[in-house]
This record gives sequence, structure tokens and C-alpha cells, in this order.
Amino acid sequence: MSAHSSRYNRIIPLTLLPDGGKGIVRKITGGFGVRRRLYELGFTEGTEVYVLKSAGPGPVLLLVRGSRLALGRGVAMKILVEVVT
Amino acid sequence: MMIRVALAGNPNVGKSVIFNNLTGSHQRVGNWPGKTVEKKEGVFRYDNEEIYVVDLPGTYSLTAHSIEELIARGYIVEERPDVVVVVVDASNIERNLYLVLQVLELGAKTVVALNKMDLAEVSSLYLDARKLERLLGVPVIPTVAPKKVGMDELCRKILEVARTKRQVVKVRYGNEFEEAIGKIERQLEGDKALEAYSTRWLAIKLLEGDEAVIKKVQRAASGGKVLREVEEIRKALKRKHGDLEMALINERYRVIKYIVERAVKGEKVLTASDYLDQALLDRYLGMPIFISILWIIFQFTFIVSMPFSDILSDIFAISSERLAGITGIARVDYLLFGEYGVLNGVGMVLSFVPLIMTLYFTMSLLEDFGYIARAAFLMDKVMRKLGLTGRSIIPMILGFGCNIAGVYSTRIIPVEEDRIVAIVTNPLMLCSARLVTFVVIAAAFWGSAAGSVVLSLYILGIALAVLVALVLKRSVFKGRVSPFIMELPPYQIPSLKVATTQMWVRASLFFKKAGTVILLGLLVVGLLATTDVSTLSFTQDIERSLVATIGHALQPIFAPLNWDWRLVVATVFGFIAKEIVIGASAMLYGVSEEEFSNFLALHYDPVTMYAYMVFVLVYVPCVATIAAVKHETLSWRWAVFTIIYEIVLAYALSLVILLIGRTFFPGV
Repeated sequence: MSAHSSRYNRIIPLTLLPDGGKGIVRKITGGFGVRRRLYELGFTEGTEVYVLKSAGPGPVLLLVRGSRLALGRGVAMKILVEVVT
Repeated sequence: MMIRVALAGNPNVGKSVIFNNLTGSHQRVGNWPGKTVEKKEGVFRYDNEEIYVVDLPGTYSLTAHSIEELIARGYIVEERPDVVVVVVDASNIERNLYLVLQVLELGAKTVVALNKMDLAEVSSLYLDARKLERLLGVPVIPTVAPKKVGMDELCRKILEVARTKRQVVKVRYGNEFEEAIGKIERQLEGDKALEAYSTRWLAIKLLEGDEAVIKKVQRAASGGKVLREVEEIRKALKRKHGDLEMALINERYRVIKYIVERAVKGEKVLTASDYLDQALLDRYLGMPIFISILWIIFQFTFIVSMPFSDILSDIFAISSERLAGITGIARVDYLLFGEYGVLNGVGMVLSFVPLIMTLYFTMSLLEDFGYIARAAFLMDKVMRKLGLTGRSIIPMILGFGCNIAGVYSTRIIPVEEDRIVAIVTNPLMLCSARLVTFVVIAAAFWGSAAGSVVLSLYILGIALAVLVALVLKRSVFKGRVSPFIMELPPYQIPSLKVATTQMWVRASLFFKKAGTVILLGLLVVGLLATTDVSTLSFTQDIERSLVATIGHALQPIFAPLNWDWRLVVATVFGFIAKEIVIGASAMLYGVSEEEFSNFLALHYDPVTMYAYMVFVLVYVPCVATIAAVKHETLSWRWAVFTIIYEIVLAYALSLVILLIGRTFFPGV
């Protein structure tokens, strides 16, 4: 995917990505504490996130920087990603 | 001089396996002073040097935001170990390098143990340790801890690094940041009060605005001047980069990306573990699978252990007969081997060793497999509705084995309030000690349906825990629910060796308990049962014994619950250890295990006995669990609270069940 086409991709909360979906972290909203924790776990802007499992109203399981992280739906909502198609 | 080594690393990287490999059995487990975080330390010899190792708490970072992080950072900064070994998960190198970079910032002499090299290969990641070494500027040793690969090399490097004066760390951040760090470093130089710390670390932390470090600098002579200068530098940088703590996290990951691109080949592929998660964490299948797994464990435990239990109880019955008269002293003989004798009671308890062993065996397999972390994932949705985090399910599952283990495992819950809720509700989990009592009673009254009756008690325990948690979250702890963030380690084939070891450890603990606390408790009951109340001499008439007097005195309290005095005594003594309930009952009724079921069925009705089991399920934690609650909440307050709410709840619930039962089954 070329750099300029990505500019037009949708930005959505991480929870809306389907199983197997990919996104690039663009922004993390929410309180400073949670933001810093997510940052330290590798969710910095520009990082690619792969959704392993997004189970209904439950948490989401992600592959980020090679680690499998489970995030509660509330937290995952705060991560805005650009959809990678 | 002893060389001091600190082990740092993320959770789940195999740090404790490396710790065990190094120290062997020479280790001490305790707590960090005043904290409920485990501290493991040990000493070993290598190449004629004595080496002391401390296992720091597993952390993802070294900012001062959680107790674990504070302890790990505090130890490295203040105690200044000779070498810090950062244990790194090679299959998860990117995120793991974050901690490595932070340790390097601290200026501690560092060795990186590149662990789980085998797992990295499975995920198609190929790491070049030499290149990593060059990029970081510190030694990197590939290891596979469970197979003890690389341990020798690691020890050698530890010694080598301990002997060098200093390392030349290669990691540098972006120019703007390095300039700022350099400027602050020059300000800090020469201040005696700060000499003990790495100036680079102080400078980075000041740049980030770390409160603990700011306070440290404030106290130094040049503090005021330095901090004013730092403020200027921060202001300038902030205009471009926003919050500087975040900007530095970003910088570290940028550098990590650079390192990984050069030292790691291949891209992580999805493994069998990920495909398994697709099924086990499925939104529709996940929960039914979870419940089925618990059900299977429960069934398996019974089916496998019952034949062994039967054999054991036969053995005890026979030995009781054979041993009768062996001491030659009527009184002792009667106390030990008689109908109301201690052996009868202890035998009753010990015949359930196979049950406890199988339970722990299967639970260890499940834990080792990696499923318990998945249970937290599956349950988060439900727990959240109750104001708890998914992590709370883990102590609950472990509590089915033993509440003490359950209470200690609450340490994985990061928020203090949630942790206390999990601690005080854990005794409601039906532990193996109470299971012993319920198995006997249920078999007596419900025959083939006994399994379902016991299961109903498990469910009742969970329901009550949920209820108590809800009440606490609505009243005392009105905070928000902590966000659920948890790493799920890949599944692994559960080790039979670990499970067998766990099983024998538990069995030996149980024997120890049976030989000490339980035996003592039953001996006291036995002595009281054979001592005449008026003459204090030996009696075979239990109705005239001391224990009868005590029982009769207490009985009115429990009269509404339909218990006779013997049941009252057995239950009260169960406070020492729950196994005593069934052991003491057998003794006080003077029937052996085989006849016990028939005896119960003749003397009590099912409604009374169900209400009784509910009482035993809920009433007071055993002494050891109370101690654990006190230890983990660091106060008597919650221990006392647990005792009181449980007694009240047990009595009320038991009474309600009795009343309802009487209304619906007036005949029985």
C-alpha cells in the first residue's frame, strides 16, 4: 500500500476491526494513565495492530509488536486505528 | 566479595526458571519489605565466586507507576547490584527490548539473557545475538531455560561483566533528545548528593518529569538551579513533541525498531497456539468450552480418585481393628483405636488424599497449558458487569484447590480495591478440604445424584462470592473498574513432570497437615470425648464427657438448624482445618467410615443436611486462610470482616434453606 493512498483510509476505534483485521494506531484517547500504559506496551502511533479475536462484547485479543495482548473492550475503544486494507 | 546479581524481565519470560537453574535449592522466598510482592533470593557458586541473585518482580517497564515497577527500579537504583541480568523473551523481542532500554538508561552493568530461543524459531523469528550485542553494547546470551541451554555461558558473562569497570552502552535517542539530555547532565555533574546515580538516567527522568527523581534533585545543593534549567529545556522540547514522557516512550520504540530491523530476520507467523485461541476464545463456543472443562476436571477427579479412596478407607478400618489393644493401656487404646478414636477420624480424612492429589494434578495441567489466562479473557465481560476485572477469575479457580493458594494468587490483580474484594470472597470458593465433607454427606443422601448436589454447592459458592463482591463494589469500593490489559502467553504442552511434582507436593503438604493440625484437633476432640465431666477421669460414656457438655452448651445456638450437639462440636472444630468436620463427626458418632453414610441417613433428613452443607460451605475460613487474608491485606480489619460476614451469611442462608425446604418437602 502506498503512502498517499493510506491518507484516505477510515479511522475507527480498534473494537470495530473484525477478526483478522489490521490497523495502524493513529491516536489514543482517554486518561493519561491508560494512555501511558498502552504506549509502554507498544501501542505508539504508527504501530500496526492485528486483531486475533474480537469476541462480541468481551475483550479483544491483539498481536502488537509480536506480543499477544488482551484488552478490555473499554480500553480498546480508546485506540483509534486507520484501517489497513 | 560476593557478587550481587538482579534478575529483571517482563512477566512470562521464564525468569523464575532461570532463577531456579542458577540457585538450585538454595533460595529463600519472602516478601519485599512492607509489600505483598514476592521476593526470591538465592546464592550459588560459580568459578569459585559466590554469587547472590535476587529475582525482581516481573514488569513491562521501570517507570514508577506500580508497586512492582517501584520495587524493581528502587532495587537497581538504590542497592546497585553488580550486574543486572535482563531476561528477554526472544519470541517477543520487540516489546521486551523496551525494558532492556530502560535498564540501560539506569547505567547498571547489564547482561541480556535471550530466552525462549526455541520458541522464536517456531514463530519463524531468527535472532542474531552478536548483532544485538553490537547494537546494544552489552553481552547477549541465547538461552533455553527449561533445557538449561546457555546457563554456563550466562554465568561466565555475569562474572566477566561484574569484573569490568563499566560498559559502553550504544543506545542513543534522537539528536534533539540527546542534546537536551547532555545539557541536563552537565548541570548535574559535580553534585555530591547525586553522585551515586547515573547522570544520564537522572537527566532522562528529569526530562520526563518523573516526580520521584525531581524530589531527589530538589534535595541536592544545586537542585533549585538545575530544576529551573530543566524547565526551560522541557518547555522548548514540549512545543514540538507534546508530553515528554510519551515522546520518550516513542523514542525508545523508534530505536527498538531500528535494532530489530538489523538483528532479527523473518516475520512472526501465526502458530498453532493462535489457531487454538480461535476456538477456545470464540464468542459463542468459548463459554460452553470453559464450563465443560471445569465439569470434566470435576468428574475426572472423582472417577479417578474414588477407587483409591475406597481402598484407603478399608485399610484404615482394618488397621483400627488390628491395632486395638496393642498399647495395653485401656484409656490410650480407646482414645486412639476405639469407636470414638482418633484413628477413625484421621483415617476418614486421609482416605481422601487421592481426591486432593487428582484435583491438583488436573489443575496443574490446565494452568501449565495456559488456559487459566484465557479464562480471565472469557470472563472479563461477565466480571465487568459486576464491577470486577476478568483477572479475578484466576484466584477463584485456584481457590477450588485451596483458598490459601487462591488468596495469594490475587497478587495478579493490579488494583488494590479489586484485589481486596477478590481476597475476602475467595473463602467462598469450595476448597478441597470442604469437598471431603460434602462428598461423604452427598453420597449418603443422594446416591447417584451426589455429583450434582456437590456441583450445586460449587455454584452457590461462586454466586455468593459474586453477591458479596457486588455489595462491596457498591458500598466500600465505589471506584471505577480497572481497565483489562493482559498478555496471553502462548499455549504449551502441559508438563506431566510439573503436574506430578505439584501433586506430590500437595500430597505431602496434606500429610503434614493431617499429622499436625488435623491430628492435634482430633486428639483434643478425642480427649474431651473420653474425659468425664464431673470426675475428669476416663470415661467411655460420651454423653457424660466434657465434649458433650461443651456441645450441649453450644447446641441451643444451632438448634434452629436442627443439629445435635455432636455436629455442633465437629463444625466448631472445623475452624482449625475444614477436614476436621468430617473426621470429628465420625469420631463423635462413633461410627467407622463405611457405616457413616447409613448412620447419617438414619439420623438426619436431606433438607437439614443440605442446609448443613451450605453452612459448612460458607462459615468462617480455616485458621490458615484467615492468616493468609491478614497477610495479603496487610491488616486484621479484612480478616475480621471476612470471619464476621461469613458467619452471618452461613447462618442466615442455612436457616432460609431449611425453612424453604420444610415448606416444599413437609414430609421429609
